[in-house]
Amino acid sequence: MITFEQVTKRVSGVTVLRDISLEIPTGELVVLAGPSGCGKTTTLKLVNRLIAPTSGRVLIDGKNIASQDVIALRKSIGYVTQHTGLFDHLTVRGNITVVPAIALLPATEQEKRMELALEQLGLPGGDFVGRYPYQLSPLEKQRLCIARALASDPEILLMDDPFAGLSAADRSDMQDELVTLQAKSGKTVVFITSVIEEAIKIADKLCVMNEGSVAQYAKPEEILKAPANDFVAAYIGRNRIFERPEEIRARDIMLTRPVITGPEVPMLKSIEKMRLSKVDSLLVTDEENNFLGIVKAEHIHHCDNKDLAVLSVMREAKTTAAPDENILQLLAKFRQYKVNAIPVVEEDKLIGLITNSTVVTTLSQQSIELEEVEEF
Amino acid sequence: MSLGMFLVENSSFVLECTLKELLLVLITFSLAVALGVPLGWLCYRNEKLKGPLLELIGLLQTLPALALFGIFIAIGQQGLITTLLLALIYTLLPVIFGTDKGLHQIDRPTLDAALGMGMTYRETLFTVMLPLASPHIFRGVRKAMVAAVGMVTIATISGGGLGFLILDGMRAHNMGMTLAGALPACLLALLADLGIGVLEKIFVPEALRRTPEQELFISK
Repeated sequence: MITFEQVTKRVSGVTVLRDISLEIPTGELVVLAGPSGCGKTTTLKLVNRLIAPTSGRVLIDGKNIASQDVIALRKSIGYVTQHTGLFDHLTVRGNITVVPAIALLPATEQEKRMELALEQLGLPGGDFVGRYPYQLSPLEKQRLCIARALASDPEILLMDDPFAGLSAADRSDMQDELVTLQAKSGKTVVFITSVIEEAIKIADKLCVMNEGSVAQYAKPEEILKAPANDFVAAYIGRNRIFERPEEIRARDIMLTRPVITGPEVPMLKSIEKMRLSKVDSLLVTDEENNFLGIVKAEHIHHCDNKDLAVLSVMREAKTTAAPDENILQLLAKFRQYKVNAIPVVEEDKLIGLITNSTVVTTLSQQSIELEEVEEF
Repeated sequence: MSLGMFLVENSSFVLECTLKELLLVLITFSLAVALGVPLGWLCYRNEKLKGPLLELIGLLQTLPALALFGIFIAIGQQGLITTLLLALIYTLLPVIFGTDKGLHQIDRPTLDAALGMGMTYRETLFTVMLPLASPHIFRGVRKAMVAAVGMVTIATISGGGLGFLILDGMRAHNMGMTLAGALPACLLALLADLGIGVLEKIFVPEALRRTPEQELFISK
């Protein structure tokens, strides 16, 4: 576990990190994301002491790293810099075996570690190890960087925007590989990216930073559904949710105060209510909020005696939705049952309503202003 | 007197001058590198140092080498020290510059990677920084070598090297003598350049030698 305790960093009078407190659990892939200059690289470099805090402490497994031998600390942490940081004057083999943690080992052991590292990253052996970085493709270079960082088999891996220079396809492949690698090895990975989609895709926990502070630190799903403030919302882009429709659930987009009526209420009154609320139907619930059915204006109009209770023209809802159902499932229901609205019901009780227009606006990527219709 | 005749009569002397000059060149060159590289590294670490250092040496460089030499002689200083000092003024700067430039063009991520993996500063300096800076350092070293030959030749006009033969030959209208000094001097310069090429092959990592640059340098 990596812990930041009220860490502040000032450089030439500029506060780069403001009182950061953060816990990175062991064995998780935590992503630091945010606009450039928000302090993510600084935060990362605090872990291997390339940067020292102005105030506050950084702990690894409860021990203050400032009191440890810095060389030993760094040898135990794998580090992948931005822009590769490969040693151009050394071969593939040279780049891996120069790592201090393995440089002092006997040659055979070094060779073994190198082969293991290359294998983990899907890099070939043989001739490949004699090549120089300038002879490698960007993807190979990136893999080599990570292999180099893994050569010492560290428990913690720090990665500073490692996939920045890759093509979209290569990037996607590397992201998948990293997630698999991390899951298999159980290493603690701290990963920096400036591309929010990447963060959302790979993170176990996502730390959104801004101007030296942590704006929100939670599971990606939670952040997507409930951004802590305007900055986070803007940064993930309200749109972000729309790229992963599975994340949008009925409870996120439903009208929370649908217009309801009791079963005994006369139709005339109900029509008035509809007119005032500008709706064409009412949901019928009893005193305990149990959902009973729907009354539509057209049904009432067809009725001669409008003094009767709505119960007589009430129809059962063709379908209802549970609060957890996602937008795709809702869409399917709309299509299947050819309805305009779906009540959201939990344990028989009505908790909300999803209308066609709710879904349409959600999907058309406009900000949703949920129409709160007043309840009488 | 023709070159041939002069050589026949004074072969041992010409040889002596050549060897003395060669020795001086080697000493000058070695000093320039031994002092220049660390100084260059200091400049790299300490931007503030660079300014005054360059100004000082730049100032000395504006003075005509021969004139400076004349001043040294006038105040009674002659011999080895004078020669070396004079030559050093002109040979240090390229090495310092080359080292500083070479170190500066190493990008930060490479250094971060080295330190971040647990290298000490010294390890980083010798296994990463200097090798990566070596192409630039050698460019400076090459210039230094050319300057060294030039400077030593000038400094030896009062004796102890080929400069003496050149100048005395000119004064005595002895073409043979002049050539006996000038030709070996040129040869020496070319050989020195070749020597640098060999050193380069040894010290500059092969991966960094890929784009050779030809540079013109007008020696004093």
